[in-house]
Amino acid sequence: MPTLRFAPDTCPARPAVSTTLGIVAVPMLLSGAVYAAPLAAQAIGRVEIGGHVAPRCWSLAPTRTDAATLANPDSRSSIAARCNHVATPISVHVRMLPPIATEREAQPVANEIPPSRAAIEIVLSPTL
Amino acid sequence: MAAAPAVAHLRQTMAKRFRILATALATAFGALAMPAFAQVTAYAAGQGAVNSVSVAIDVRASVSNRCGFAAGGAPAGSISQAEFDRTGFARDFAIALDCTGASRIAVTSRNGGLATAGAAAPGYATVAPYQVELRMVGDDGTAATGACDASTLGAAGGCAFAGTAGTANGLRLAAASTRANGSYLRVSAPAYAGSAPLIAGQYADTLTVTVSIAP
Repeated sequence: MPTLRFAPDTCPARPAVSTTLGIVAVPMLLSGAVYAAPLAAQAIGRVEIGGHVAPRCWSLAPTRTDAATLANPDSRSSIAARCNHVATPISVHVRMLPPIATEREAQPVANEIPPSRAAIEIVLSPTL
Repeated sequence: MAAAPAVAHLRQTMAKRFRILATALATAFGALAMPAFAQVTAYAAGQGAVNSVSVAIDVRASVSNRCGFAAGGAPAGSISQAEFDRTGFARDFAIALDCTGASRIAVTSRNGGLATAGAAAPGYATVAPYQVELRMVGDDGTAATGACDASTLGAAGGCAFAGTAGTANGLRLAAASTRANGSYLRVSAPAYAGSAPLIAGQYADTLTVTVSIAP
């Protein structure tokens, strides 16, 4: 190991150096410090993923029903349905409302095909 | 009493051999001792004849590989997609490494998919699947890619980059990557098409991404 020694009667700011030849400790020390460094550094990243599923219902077996059938008060179309927010099965009843129930009668426009309009009532009922 | 001179001669012979052996051992140990402990003292100007000493110091050093995310380069952030079961989602999170050699990157999923805290019900699903894709690019253009379902990103998942990155685990990028090279983590899902409908509510998952040196 090198040693520092102040020569007699000299300013401490200018120290004389006394050392031994054939220094081997310094390179050994440096090498040791390097090899002691950790080989693997690890870091962490985080990603948050979120989403929302809205409540909704849908028919399980859609069926085609004509307007004449729906217009008949005695013939309601019943459709099995399912919802994603209640576990209870849902039944759907659909019927066509009479024109008087709509807010306003459709008005034909000149030189055009007479318009048609209908109102449909859909009733969801839990099946107990 | 003729044995006395013989014993004396034997003692002299043994003593002589011992001295020779001791001398040889001392010579050998002297050679193994610290070489040339010669001391030279340098003095300040005017204080002595020797004012400088040349000392040869052999300095050897090496730079070990380092590997981690660059500052601000760790994938972070969030995505929140309303009605993801109908719309699907896709989002890229940029990654910047600071690896002077080959590296490995791995991902874990907390829930193995988007999970809701809502109560499970028969016939309904509470976990939505999605995909996780990794693309790592090195400084020299070398790329490594992989994609897995989130369901395989558990601790014992079947994905190649599932778990915590280690010297033998994770997607391996064979080149150094010390700057932003276009690496990313992509999460995506098409519109939900599972047979069991998803329960309405909030869904969430957390991905943890780790990087490690890959010797």
